Amino acid sequence: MPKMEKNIVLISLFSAFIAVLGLAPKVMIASGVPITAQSMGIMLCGTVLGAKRGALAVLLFLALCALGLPLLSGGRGGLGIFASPSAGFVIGFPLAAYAAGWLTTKLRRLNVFYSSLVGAIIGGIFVLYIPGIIGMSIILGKSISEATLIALIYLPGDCIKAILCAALTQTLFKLRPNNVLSRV
Amino acid sequence: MLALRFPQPTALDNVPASLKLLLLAAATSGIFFISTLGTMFLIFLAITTFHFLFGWQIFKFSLNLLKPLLPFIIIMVFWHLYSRDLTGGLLIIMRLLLIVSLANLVTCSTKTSEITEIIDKILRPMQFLNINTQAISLSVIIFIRFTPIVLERHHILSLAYKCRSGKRPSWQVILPLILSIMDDADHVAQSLKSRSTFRV
Repeated sequence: MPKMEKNIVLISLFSAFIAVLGLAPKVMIASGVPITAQSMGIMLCGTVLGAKRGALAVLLFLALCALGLPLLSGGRGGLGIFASPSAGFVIGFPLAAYAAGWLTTKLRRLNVFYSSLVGAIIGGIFVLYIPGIIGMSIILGKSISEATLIALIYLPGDCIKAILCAALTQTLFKLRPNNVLSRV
Repeated sequence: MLALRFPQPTALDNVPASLKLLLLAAATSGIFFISTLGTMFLIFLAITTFHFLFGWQIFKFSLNLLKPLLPFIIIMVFWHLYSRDLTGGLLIIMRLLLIVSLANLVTCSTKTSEITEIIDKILRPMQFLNINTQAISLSVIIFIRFTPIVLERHHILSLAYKCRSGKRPSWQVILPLILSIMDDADHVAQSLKSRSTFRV
């Protein structure tokens, strides 16, 4: 398989995958708890595609959102996303995908579920929340601890997404090990 | 189909994209220097009236674009009521509304192709640094071509799940969607290679 072409196509199609997860109806994990699957798409980009390809897929997605495509969850798009309170989270998306992919690859001695769970939690939550909280603190004019309190609302949903992401990566690895590029 | 655009053309569409982006950058920076609520409110009123001049439909469309800010506005109001600094809170809310509505105004009145051209110009010097700008353009084309296809496939998978289980689909359709994307990636990469459309 031509490697360069395959990488470009995978990056583009996973960008489309993130977009679709934002456009699709909200996922209901438990009764009455709706969450959007888009940030799970960011985690999956890292755990499935690996650090570089995952981060590039997210970067492409964000560049196209900035160009004006309303692809972020809730139909958001355009340059306004970088001025909204969630701007820090948006900027943190590629970092989160990179960290999730990097950890999934580095922890290859562990079972795929655990390595991708660690990747999704550290990348998709810790790494994502740092710029997210800083951004929220700057734009809303709050202190870091106040912004952290506001951001904690998202934490339970993100923990569920990290577990789901790990389970999906493991199932994909069982079905088609060569498709989990972070472990190839 | 995917672009965020006003429902009908406006006079702003004829203003060059580069000028609009430059003015947006200047205005966004300027807003951070305004510290009085009255001035902020007057500017917001002016921007709202400006939207209204383009017609009711565009005014309604622009208001809808501000909806995602509502949860933050509610949190800010309660927070500042609790800390007894409502003026400070209103100042932040006004700043947020101003910057986001200006950015939306530029985005919705500018064709994606115009912004792509500007990005292409910005990326051009990167060719000298051995960065493959053709790969970036190709990625954008594949993304725009395939997003509606992936969306349609998600819809079909959801329908199939609903038919078989009688339940509303949620995360269960994500794995088959990834598998289909992986299959597509193989086919598209092979097709690109055989047509020699992309040279490394």
